[in-house]
Amino acid sequence: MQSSWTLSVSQLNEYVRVQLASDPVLRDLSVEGEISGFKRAVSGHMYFALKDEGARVQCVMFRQYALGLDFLPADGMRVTLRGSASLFVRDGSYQVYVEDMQRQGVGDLYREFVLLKERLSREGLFDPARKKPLPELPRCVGIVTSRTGAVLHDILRVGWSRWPNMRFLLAPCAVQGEQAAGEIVAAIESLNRYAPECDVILCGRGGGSLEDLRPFNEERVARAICASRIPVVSCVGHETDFTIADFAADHRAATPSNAAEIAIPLQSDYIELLQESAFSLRRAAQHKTARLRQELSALASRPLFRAPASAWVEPRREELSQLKRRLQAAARSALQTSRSALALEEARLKALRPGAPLERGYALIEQNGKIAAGSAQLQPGPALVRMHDGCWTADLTGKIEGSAWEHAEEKGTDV
Amino acid sequence: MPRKKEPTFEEKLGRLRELVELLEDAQMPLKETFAAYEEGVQLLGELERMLSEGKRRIEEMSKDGLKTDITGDVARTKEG
Repeated sequence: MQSSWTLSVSQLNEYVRVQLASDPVLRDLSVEGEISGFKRAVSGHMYFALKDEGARVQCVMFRQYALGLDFLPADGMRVTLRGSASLFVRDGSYQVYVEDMQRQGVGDLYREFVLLKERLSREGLFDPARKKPLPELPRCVGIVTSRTGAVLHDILRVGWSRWPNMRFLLAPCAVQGEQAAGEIVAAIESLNRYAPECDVILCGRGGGSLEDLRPFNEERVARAICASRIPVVSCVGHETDFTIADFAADHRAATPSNAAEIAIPLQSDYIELLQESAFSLRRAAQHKTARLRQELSALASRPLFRAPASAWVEPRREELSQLKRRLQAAARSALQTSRSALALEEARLKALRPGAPLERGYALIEQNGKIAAGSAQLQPGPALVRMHDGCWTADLTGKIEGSAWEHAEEKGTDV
Repeated sequence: MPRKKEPTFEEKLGRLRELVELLEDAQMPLKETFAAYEEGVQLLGELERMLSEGKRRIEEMSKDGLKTDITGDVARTKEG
């Protein structure tokens, strides 16, 4: 006995921790039991005890592992944990460090669910891009649920409290049992015949075991929801229950009441909105007319309208008389020009007058009323000699042959 | 889904918002202002009617697609 070895508490706990940690069984173990005293810290770590009829062990599941869970653990839930057991040095107590957790008693059904969910997800059925938007204000709300369940009443109660004259169309169906899935599919399809009159569908049932929820985990129900032209809001079970239908739906509601809240707006909001719109409309129109009136009175006060004669007419009258003066001047000068042109033409015309040569001493000889153009046209007999200042009667006695100028010079005769 | 015939509540509401914006635009000619205002007032009336029209009603659809009004039944079972 080496009682001289005295350890501090820390050393002791650390020693035990190392002992536990080096044990191959404790390092990687699987343990099953019921969850008790479940707590989730703000940090995201989960703390709980796992117990059976005779014992309990403290467990912790750190955030990075807890994030991988596809369900929320709760008290009373039977689970199988995988992880390691080690000592928590500070408290000197040992606990299980959980890395993975599986729900028990769901076995094959649960695995089926996970596999189907993965398959449909890969296929793109849950793709956010496929999700149809809900109408802002539904005209008629379709309901796919049991005729007798509480779901219908919850939806109607909440729905009518939000929108007192909302219309609903129930496509009743079984929500559990063998026929349920087929009836749900048929109900969704028959409501689709009332599109677009019916423009949103609430589809769900109350909470229950995984077995109860089974119809909403069936592939054909998921496909019918995706194929619906009318957007579908799912409300299956409680907040913590997730079904394939929830993933396939355009919107997931935690409960039937919540589904009614999501799909049906508050009428009072709309009444308020319309009152506001009426107000804005009137105000906008009033502003507009006020602005126009203002513009009008601003225009009316301009000089043009205040003193029209002086402001507008006078300058124009002035311009007009100026134009008149210019026009008169132009006319005068045009007249002058034509007058002098006329005098010139007159002088030129005068020069061409037939009497002009006579003024230079020439004479015309007329016989029998005709002016002779040459000696050949004359005959012996009386004739008239015309000069510029008077006439002589003459008697032509004989013709002298030869040219006129020769004889005149030779004989000195005047013709 | 094409719904050519009657515009929905949302469409009418959208148009009303548009009209208010148009009226707030100083550039709009007077004639169009009057037209926008008149249309807005009419839309308001229609929207108000849409809010209040119809009674609360739930119909049940049978397998062959026929609708039966069960509003009374539902109220009774709820109380019972």
